[in-house]
Amino acid sequence: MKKRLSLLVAFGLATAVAVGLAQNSPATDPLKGNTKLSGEISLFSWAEPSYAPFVAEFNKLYPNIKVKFVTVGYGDAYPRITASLAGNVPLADVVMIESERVEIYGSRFPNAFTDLSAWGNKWERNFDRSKWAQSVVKGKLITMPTDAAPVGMWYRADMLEKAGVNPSSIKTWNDYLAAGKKVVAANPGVKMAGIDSTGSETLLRILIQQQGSFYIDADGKIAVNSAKMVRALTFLKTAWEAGILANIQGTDGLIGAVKGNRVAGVNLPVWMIGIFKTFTPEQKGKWGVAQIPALTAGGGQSAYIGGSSLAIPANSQNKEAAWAFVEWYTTYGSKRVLELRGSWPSFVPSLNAPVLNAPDPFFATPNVFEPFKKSAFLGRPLRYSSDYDKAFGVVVAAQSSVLNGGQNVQTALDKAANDLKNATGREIAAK
Amino acid sequence: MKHFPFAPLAFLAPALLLYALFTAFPVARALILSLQRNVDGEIRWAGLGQYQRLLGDDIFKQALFNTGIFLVIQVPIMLVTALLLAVALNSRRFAFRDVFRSAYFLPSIMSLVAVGVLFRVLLNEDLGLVNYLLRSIGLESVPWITHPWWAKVTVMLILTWRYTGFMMVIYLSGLQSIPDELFEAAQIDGSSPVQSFWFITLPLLRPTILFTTILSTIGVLQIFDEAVIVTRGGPANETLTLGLYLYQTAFQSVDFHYAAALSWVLVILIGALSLVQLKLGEHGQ
Repeated sequence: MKKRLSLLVAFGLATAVAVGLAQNSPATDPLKGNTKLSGEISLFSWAEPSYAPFVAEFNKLYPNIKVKFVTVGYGDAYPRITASLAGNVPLADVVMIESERVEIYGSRFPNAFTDLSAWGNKWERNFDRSKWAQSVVKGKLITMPTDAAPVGMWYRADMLEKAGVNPSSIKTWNDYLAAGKKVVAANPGVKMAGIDSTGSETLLRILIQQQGSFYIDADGKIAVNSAKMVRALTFLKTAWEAGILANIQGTDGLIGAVKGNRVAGVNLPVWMIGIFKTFTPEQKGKWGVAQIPALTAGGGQSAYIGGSSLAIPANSQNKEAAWAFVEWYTTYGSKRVLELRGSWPSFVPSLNAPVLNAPDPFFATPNVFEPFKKSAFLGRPLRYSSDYDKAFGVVVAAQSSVLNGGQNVQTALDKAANDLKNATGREIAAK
Repeated sequence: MKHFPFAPLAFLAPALLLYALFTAFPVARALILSLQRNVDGEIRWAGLGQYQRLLGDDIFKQALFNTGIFLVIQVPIMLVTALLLAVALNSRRFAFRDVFRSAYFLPSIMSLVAVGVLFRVLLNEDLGLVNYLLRSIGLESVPWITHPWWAKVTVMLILTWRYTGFMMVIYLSGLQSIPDELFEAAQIDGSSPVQSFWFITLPLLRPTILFTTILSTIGVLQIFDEAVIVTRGGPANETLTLGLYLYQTAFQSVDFHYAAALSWVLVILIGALSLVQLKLGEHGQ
């Protein structure tokens, strides 16, 4: 009994010393680590394999922080996060949130997140500007960006060759359309690319980002019926009616279409590398990638779809240890994540990783990362806004009513703008 | 002197407590939520503002319209099919009737996740089995998910597939409570099977039919899973239901206040429709 008591006292003293130290000196350093920081932190995500393999490396720097995982399916993740924030019930010390949802949560629950500004702002100049902007809500840094997701034009080299199409000749979306017609003619049953006409708007999102615009403008006004959106959806309609696009629903549809040799390409982010290697190993040597085409010759070729970030809820009991992990993982750790998982870092210094220059025999292009290096940076903040999900909903509905319901582009987008106005109370920007 | 009846109350207490905690409280809380709004994280009083929003909300009107279509078309088809199946499977002359009863009932106990995967695979427009079979007999592929009308048909097909067997079982139990003597007497008087069905079975099943009608009306007004697993409300909100819209508003847009207003409108709708059906049922007796 006595022994136990003295142990307790010793432990208490040690903790007090550790806490005292933590408060006086900068306790975290993603290069040097800190052996004095201790405790257990939990990480809530639907993507444990993106984190678990790196804990050992993190523990080399912070040996006394134990990281455990709370992992759920993607479909359950957001309802759990929402319920936890709304009810102020602790979920975990670190929570994974996709960048497009950060501002939605940050504006509804402004006090539910730890403001990381004091710790994290020193890293700002090292991060991709577009990603950093997605983490800042009303002046507070509420998440740290993990991966970015630059988009490339993935193509089946064999199918393009059969049609006599040289992928490097595809510079604009009009070139793409012409090439698509040739590819469809030369490969029976194959389409140039796939889109999810009723469930998502990836190609439309690419086309609008390339014009330097998005669904809600910098002033917070609705821009879903802008001239740029009309142009984007009109191109999509032309391509759809030309019969070069397959309709693929969801990720299972995407994988099915790729594996079934039904599409000669997809316009999706760098993470397709993982999909090809995991699900279609038999297509080794057939996939190449280039920068996505521009709308007009010489125009922008950058677009992002997705990407995530890590938040520390305000009710975390071990914020400093949580920050140690978040900081390491999103900065110098991101290089390891890139090497092992092919996950594109938002932390720019990690882009000097040798893996980005190494040839990968799985792909038809010598360096699969090359196009992404060229088009990775928008070079400007890309904000999704606090009503992104609603904007997404009305845009998908407009796309679907044009492609599947034969509606006029302007009419559909005007309806989308009105629906969004009703749902959010935002003004519609002047066209 | 009369004592306050503590004993019955004590026996009822657990049930009452659970009811208060898990039904009455959330319902009341939803009502309060629906009268508020969230302005940058600050909860403010909104009066009837959320309900006013509903009036100008075209997506809500579309969801209401879709739900109405499902109600008017799917419920009668399902109930008539279930009734005919029940009458057929109640007949002693029917071989293997237990096998058929189980087979028809089976879909209603299947996990919805499995149902979702099953129908997504079957109805995939490019590679699905159903379109493959249609093409192989020379018909055209059906745009099960992408066409505004066909997507509605898809949802109604899944609903019918899933719940007809369940309704059939309810009708079967109703049928078994009708005494055989009535049919025998009618037969002796020279009544045909159709006449027996029309003049004996149907009138005596009236309470059961009323019950299933109310049950399926409530069910249809709350459709959520069937729409979310296969069509996700698409294309262009053509299969968006009130339940799905409510879910999207609350858990995707994180707008609890508007969702609460939606849920109260749903409550009032279900209450009103059930009342009308009850009155009509009484009226006929």
